Amino acid sequence: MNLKSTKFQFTILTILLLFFMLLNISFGSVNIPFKDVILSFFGDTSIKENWVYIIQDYRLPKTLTAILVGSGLSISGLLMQTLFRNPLAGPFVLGISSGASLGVALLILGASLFGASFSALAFSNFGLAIAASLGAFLVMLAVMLVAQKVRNTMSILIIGLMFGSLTTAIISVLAYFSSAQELQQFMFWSFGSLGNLSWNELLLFFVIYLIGILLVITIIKPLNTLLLGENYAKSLGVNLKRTKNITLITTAILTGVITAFSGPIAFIGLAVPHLAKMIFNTSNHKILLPASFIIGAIVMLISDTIAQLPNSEYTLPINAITSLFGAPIVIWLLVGKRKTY
Amino acid sequence: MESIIETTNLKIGYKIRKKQAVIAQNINIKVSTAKLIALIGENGIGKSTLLRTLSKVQPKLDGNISIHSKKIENYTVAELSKNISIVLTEKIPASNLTVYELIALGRQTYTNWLGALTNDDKSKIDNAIELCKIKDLKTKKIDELSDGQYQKMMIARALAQDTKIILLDEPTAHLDINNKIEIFKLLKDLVEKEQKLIVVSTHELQLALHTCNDLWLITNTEFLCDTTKNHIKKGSLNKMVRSEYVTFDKIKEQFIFQ
Repeated sequence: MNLKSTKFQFTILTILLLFFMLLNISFGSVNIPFKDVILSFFGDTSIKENWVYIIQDYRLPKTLTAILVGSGLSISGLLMQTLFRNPLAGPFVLGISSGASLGVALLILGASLFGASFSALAFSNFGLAIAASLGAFLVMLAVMLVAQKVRNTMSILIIGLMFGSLTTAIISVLAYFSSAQELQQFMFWSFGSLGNLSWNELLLFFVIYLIGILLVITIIKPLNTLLLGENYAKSLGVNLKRTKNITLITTAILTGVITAFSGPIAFIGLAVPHLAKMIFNTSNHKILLPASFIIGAIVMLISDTIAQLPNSEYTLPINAITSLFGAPIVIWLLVGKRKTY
Repeated sequence: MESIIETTNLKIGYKIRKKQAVIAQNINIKVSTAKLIALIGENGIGKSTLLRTLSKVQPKLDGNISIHSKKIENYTVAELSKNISIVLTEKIPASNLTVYELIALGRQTYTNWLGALTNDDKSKIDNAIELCKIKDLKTKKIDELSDGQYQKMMIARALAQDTKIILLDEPTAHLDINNKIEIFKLLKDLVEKEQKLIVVSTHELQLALHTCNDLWLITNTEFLCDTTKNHIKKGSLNKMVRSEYVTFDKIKEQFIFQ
């Protein structure tokens, strides 16, 4: 209920977000000073031409992708935790990442079975994105169809997990019959990646992302009512089925588009909502949604900056960084606090 | 007089794959004025099922339920939420909600799409808090409450919902004797001051006898609804105890252990 401190926290977080955006653009194999990064946005011509090129065609799209990925996954995670009233739920409980993995696995690991023309497709970004979206869409559709048959919301959670196990099993079989080179390519995809998106791809990403975000805004009120449990929500006039469906569809849209463009990015969606709840000490979605948005974006930007290994040519897998640095922080915070969800 | 709650040949229970598991049937109720009603019966006899069915949280199996002379199936969930509020036995999931925020959620059915509270909403919330005498709990987190405080908060939430009918499922379970008395006194006040129609399921026979206007008694074979006085006169309370050691004394108006 403390409006002032909430506003203060949001201001601090927004400043942090801007700072880490700059840091993210500035650091990399070539370090570009803050001043020059800012100047380049105002079309200053005194900056080195190849710096402008690096910023505009490589760093800036990557930074924006990081923001979309981090915020989208965090919001999806929050939706799932509220819907299932389970602190362990995350954006991937609907089988989206396992579906995407299956699609990509079929493309890469199955490529040799289908011949050369197919394997050419497998090596393009576009091919991977399509395979991931198709896989994610089909598995999610299967989970949603089965979910319509069950009354108990908790069952959806378990059904999602079961579909995850199924796809993992199929991928294992595929992997067993694959060459080392194919396996490596699949592994690289599963590490996740924020770079490599052209401005056009980024625009498409953003449009779909925006649809998801707009849908979330329409269900802020029923999400708050769901904090009381489904029976109370119903007695307060909430259309449960509609709320449940919008929540599932929104999560599917956000997580689906993110996985298609960046691979299965782990950890963020599960952990950031908890960070938001701890920092703001509230359960109100009017605060938690924007909070998850900003914190998710910040965490993703930091992870990406670390993954770039400033001053070196190497890039670490983003998936490893999010968990490697994120998990201990969340454990430390949880131990410090009494309870959070 | 127009009835507030009316049921005819109501059959309640569960549907399991098109098969009906009937819990109670031939339930005929008619209530037309504000009063405090106790719903009494042994565990598993269908008290919770009846309350959930009356509030449409659970579908009825057969028969009719009318709220303000309008069939319950013709109400949307939103309309019904302006007529009936409930206090269930289920604990609400753990969260960071404060007592005030939780009570404010009672206004959800009246607020705009973002759930913003108007001045009218705020005064209704304050009034509910006042009536339940929990002003000092306002800023507490809901998981810091004792069982007694928790129940008062849930009653305040139902009051904030501003409905004629309030259904409570065993609000005094797990409470100490003082809290039990306080809750029943509170419910009685709400009927008298706020003209509510309150149905409360309970195992506190003695308290119910002294505070409730009507009793609904459920046994394996019958559903009896009448005023408390008539029940005492007719001796129907003896049907509530199977033990041979306990009988109901009409004159002393209490159960006697022999």
